[in-house]
Amino acid sequence: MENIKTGIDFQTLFEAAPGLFLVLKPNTPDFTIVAVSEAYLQATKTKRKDIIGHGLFEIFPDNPDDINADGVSNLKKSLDSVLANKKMHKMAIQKYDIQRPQSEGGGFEERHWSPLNSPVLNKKNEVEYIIHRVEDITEFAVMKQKAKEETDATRIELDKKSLFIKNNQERINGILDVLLKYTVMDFSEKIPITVNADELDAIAVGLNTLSEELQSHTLLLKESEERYHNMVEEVEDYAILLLDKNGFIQNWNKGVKKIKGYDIDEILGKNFNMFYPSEARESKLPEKLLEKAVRKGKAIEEGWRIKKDGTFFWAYVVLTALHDEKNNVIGFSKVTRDLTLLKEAEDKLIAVNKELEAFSYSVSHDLRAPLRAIDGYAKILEEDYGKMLDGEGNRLLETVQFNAKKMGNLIDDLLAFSRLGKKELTKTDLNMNELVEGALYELNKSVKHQAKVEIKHLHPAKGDYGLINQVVVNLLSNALKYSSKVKEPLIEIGSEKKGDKIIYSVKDNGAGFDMRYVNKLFGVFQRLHTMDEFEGTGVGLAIVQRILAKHGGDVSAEGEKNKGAIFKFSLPLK
Amino acid sequence: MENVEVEVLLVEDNPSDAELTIRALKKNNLANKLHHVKDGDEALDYVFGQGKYANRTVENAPKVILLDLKMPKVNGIEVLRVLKADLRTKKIPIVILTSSKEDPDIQTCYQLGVNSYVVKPVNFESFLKAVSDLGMYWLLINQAPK
Repeated sequence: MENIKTGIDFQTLFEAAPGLFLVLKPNTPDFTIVAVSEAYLQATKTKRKDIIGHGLFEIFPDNPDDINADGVSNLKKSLDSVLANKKMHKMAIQKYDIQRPQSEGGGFEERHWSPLNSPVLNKKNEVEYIIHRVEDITEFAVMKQKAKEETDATRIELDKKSLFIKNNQERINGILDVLLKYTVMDFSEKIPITVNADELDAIAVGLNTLSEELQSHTLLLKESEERYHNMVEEVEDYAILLLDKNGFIQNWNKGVKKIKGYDIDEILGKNFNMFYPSEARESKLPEKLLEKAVRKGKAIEEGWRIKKDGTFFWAYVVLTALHDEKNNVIGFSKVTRDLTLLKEAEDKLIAVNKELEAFSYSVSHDLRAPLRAIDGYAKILEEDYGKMLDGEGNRLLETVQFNAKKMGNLIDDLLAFSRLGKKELTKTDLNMNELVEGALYELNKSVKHQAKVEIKHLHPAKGDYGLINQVVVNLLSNALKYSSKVKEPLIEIGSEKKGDKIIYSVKDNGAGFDMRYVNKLFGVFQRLHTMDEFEGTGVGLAIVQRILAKHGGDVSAEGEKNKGAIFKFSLPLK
Repeated sequence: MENVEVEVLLVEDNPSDAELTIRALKKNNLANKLHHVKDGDEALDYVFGQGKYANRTVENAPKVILLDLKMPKVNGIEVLRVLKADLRTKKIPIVILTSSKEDPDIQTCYQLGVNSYVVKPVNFESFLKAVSDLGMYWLLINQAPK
């Protein structure tokens, strides 16, 4: 149809319009399709020749597979309202599926539309045509629908979850209660398992297993801890206190009550200096001990302490510093022993020793005075009246003097022997060759002998010069004495290193001794020879043995009657 | 006799030791002017001129005192302490006679200012020699400070 006025081909123009247009001619009850835009044909997969002149609903029926399809009725209603009201009507978004051409497999395709129906009135103000314009919003609608479905699914899921939580709130609270008990090492309660066998049940089973394991471990730990605690607690012979880093009492055992007499609540939180006598507290002894324990790890001290009843006891105290992982001092353990009995015994021993010492001096003084008189008066008798006595008288007088002198020597030797007990050792390096030669030189002055003395190279020793010299003098003088009656007396002195000791030997070819009596050699006043054979008091070797024992060494002897003897003594290298 | 100048004062409670000492000094003609007292109390009376020695004067001091340590009543240490503490008597030479060189009192004696000590040997001959030597030294060789 060509418009003569303008010369514009409106039909072509309309059909090419960018939009989905359909022109309907009201033809009750249907609407006949009289014009259609190209875009509309494409959107609905139809052809112009197939739809022009046909009824709208004949061409676009409802999708028979969609039971909710209401596109036809909605559109009819809208078109009817346009006819009735002669006004444009904008429809809500419609789901109005299109028929797929047979060439594409037939059936329907989902489509969503936003339709607008507007009337075209003629001069009589009647509805001549209705322009049906739509927009294909399928893509948007499908997306929206999908989003809606997803949101719905999430909501449903959330609803399910919150319902689950709501329904299981009690069970969860129950589990939390049990867990709370775990934190205080109470594993006795189990979480009940429901028939649901749900997530909570899975958690419950896991926790129950865990708690059983923890319970058995905790039990073992507790038992071991209790055993240890009981052990410390039950110890009565040691007072064990735990002090904080300032010396305040935090823990204790039964020994505290037994040794110090205090009940536990009387001392808890007090400073441990309460056990010290006032002088010790004034001199800051407790603080000094803590300080020393911090510095050296531990402090050991002995002294008098006060019991609750005010009596004193002699305490042996070991204070040990306790550290955390970072080596900070966090407190002290204080172990106290009551050594009063030991201390008393020690004091008694000291007293007895002092008495013995006094006795020694008294022996020295008082026994020697009458001896001096006996010897002196015998001498006066000899000097003033010797001429009046015959040979036998003079012999008797000599015997008196000889015995007085002998007793004097016995007393001197005995005193020397007892003195050794209390003598402190002063160890120095000793050149033994020099020492032996010096001793021999001195002996040569007082002892007449013909012995040949061979001194080999001697290892140096470590010992008290005076005492080791005494050992050498005694052994050497013995060797000289007991070899004095053989034709060619020979004395050999040597040494050898054996392990951590040096062994020195003094060998002679003299009178020797019977090995059966070797044990008697080193006893005080023990002699294997009579005075007629060899003079002596029987103290020399006892002194030798005592000196060597004090040095950590020893002495031994081998001998054969009339063949000689060898005396060996050892000294530790250090 | 109290006022004669005494050269040796022997303080010795043991009569035997005293006799032996005197005999030893006599042998060397050193006991001509010797006085023997039997304990420390008497020794102090003698030196200070008091008690039964009231007719003596402290200035009339002996040339040497031979002092035994172990004596009843006032012992040798006490005598020594008193004499060495008194300006009038501190210059008198005092020789201690002791039975043992182990005597712990010897140390004390030296601290108190003793001049010498002699260990009384059991052996009479040694004793004789020891006493003679000390008598010779203190009476003949040593010039007492005036």
